[in-house]
Amino acid sequence: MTPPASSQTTKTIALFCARIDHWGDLGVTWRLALALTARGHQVLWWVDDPAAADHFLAHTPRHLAKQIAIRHWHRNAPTNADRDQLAAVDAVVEAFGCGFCNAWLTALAERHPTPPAWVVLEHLAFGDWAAAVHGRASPHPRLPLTAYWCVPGFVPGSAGLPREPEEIAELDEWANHPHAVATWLATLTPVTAPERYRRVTLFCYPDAPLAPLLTQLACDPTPTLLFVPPGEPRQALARHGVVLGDRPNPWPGTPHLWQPIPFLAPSTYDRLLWSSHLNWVRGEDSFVRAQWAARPFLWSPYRRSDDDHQEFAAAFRAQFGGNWPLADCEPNFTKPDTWLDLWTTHAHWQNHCSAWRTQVAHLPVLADALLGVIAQAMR
Amino acid sequence: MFVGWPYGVSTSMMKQAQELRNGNVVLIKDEPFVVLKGEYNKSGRNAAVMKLKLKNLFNGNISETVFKADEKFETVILERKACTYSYFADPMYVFMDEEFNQYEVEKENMENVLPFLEDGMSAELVFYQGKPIGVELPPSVIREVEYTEPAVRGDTSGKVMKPARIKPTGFEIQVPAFVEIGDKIEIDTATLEYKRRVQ
Repeated sequence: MTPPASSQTTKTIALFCARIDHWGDLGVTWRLALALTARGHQVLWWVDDPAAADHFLAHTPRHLAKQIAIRHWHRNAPTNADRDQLAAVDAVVEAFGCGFCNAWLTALAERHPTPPAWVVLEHLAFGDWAAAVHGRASPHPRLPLTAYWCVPGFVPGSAGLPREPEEIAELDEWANHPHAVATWLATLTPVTAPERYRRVTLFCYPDAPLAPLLTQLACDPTPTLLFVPPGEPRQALARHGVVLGDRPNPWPGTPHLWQPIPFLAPSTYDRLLWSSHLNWVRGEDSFVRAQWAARPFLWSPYRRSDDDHQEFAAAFRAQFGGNWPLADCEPNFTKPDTWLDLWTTHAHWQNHCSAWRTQVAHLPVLADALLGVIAQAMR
Repeated sequence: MFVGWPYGVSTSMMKQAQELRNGNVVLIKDEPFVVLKGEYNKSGRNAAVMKLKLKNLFNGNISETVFKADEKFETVILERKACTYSYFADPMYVFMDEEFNQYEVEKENMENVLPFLEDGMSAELVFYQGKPIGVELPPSVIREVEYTEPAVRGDTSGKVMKPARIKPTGFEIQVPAFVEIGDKIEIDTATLEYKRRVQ
């Protein structure tokens, strides 16, 4: 057995995450794992879907990926090999409601000579709730374990937002070099001179109400290049008769082009957000990254059967302010001129997004806040 | 099953965190904690949680904690006694039972009661090792409105709320716009919210 890590500064952190339906939660924890290794810590990324893990591994530079130890999380009970791994761990992070069953909790409690620190990492929260819960202790009623909460959010006192250390500086640099943007876009699409198009990304859920948007967009004379990721966004388009292959598809009768894109590494997708004039994002990770991109964006929150997402969206809308073309919880194009109005007010909207980014850039960086909670839990 | 105490208290039943109320006593790592305050929260995709203010009955330490709402606790059933509030003897609140025995309750154990406290008020005292450690109110109480702004004409829907001060504590709650000074209102003691106007 490996002895528990003893260094005061370098910690061995086990990040546990489950694949629920999409890649979102896994993507956030993968990037968090990279952020923790960049800060000098050792990370074990424990996921219940090894195939999904391979997916991220394949899209991450080798020198970065090899710093993360990937483990198959046997959720029902730890194997002997899992217990051996736990012996070397300083802290375990239970991410995004993945939940430890009793067998895992018992294994943590029995870890010799002391249990590892235990942090519950929550989803992004709005309002004061995040600050009220972040950092609080949750002693287990029966086992010698205490969990500590780490809650990302948009308010001081929360765990803040995920952000790479150089993200904003790199983006500003990017914005000042249109030539570099053009060169980079050419690696993503064979379309001639993609930089001359109005560029839009479409990362929506499969039941997104696209019909009115497509009707309005079809009448817009400004040539638009629409980047569509694989999976659900293409299903959404297919529901409206737009079936995409692998190549750019001209939209008959319009000056627009559909550009299907493959699954991109998260950092590459960031760059696409930076390089576009409008981003339709969803869930949490692309939503946050769109805010760092400081480009006008539309957002579909993660759907919940209890309609909580509507409250979630309303809370964000209230905090974000401005004249955001988002009604209820979906980008809403039911008024006839919404699409054209959007471009009339684009410059104003762009300024608002930049001001918002400046505001939220003062919040903590999630990876640092998580390390703070781990340190608190280890005291 | 908890078997550690020789104090004659009867145990036990399991409760989820979201079912806990002020005055409940739960076992955490075999130590008894009385719930001083509980608050349910839910935000977006996050787990529903209960923020609990707890007092350790062994050492008196108070802590603020957050539990998943479905976390299960073993609760301890403690002795209860019907009493009436008698007077305040700084820093203790004195209650009396039917046999005129007096019991002193610390302010920190009265947090849920203070907004509604009045002389002669009926309440149930909760005892641990013979010492009162909590006060339980009935689910609702009726209080008179001491002051509230007059209603703005035209809105009688009951959806528009305004602040109102109640007798005798001066505690402020939100009431519908049609409530006036001198009205008697029923208040939910768990949520501290207005329930209805009483004729």
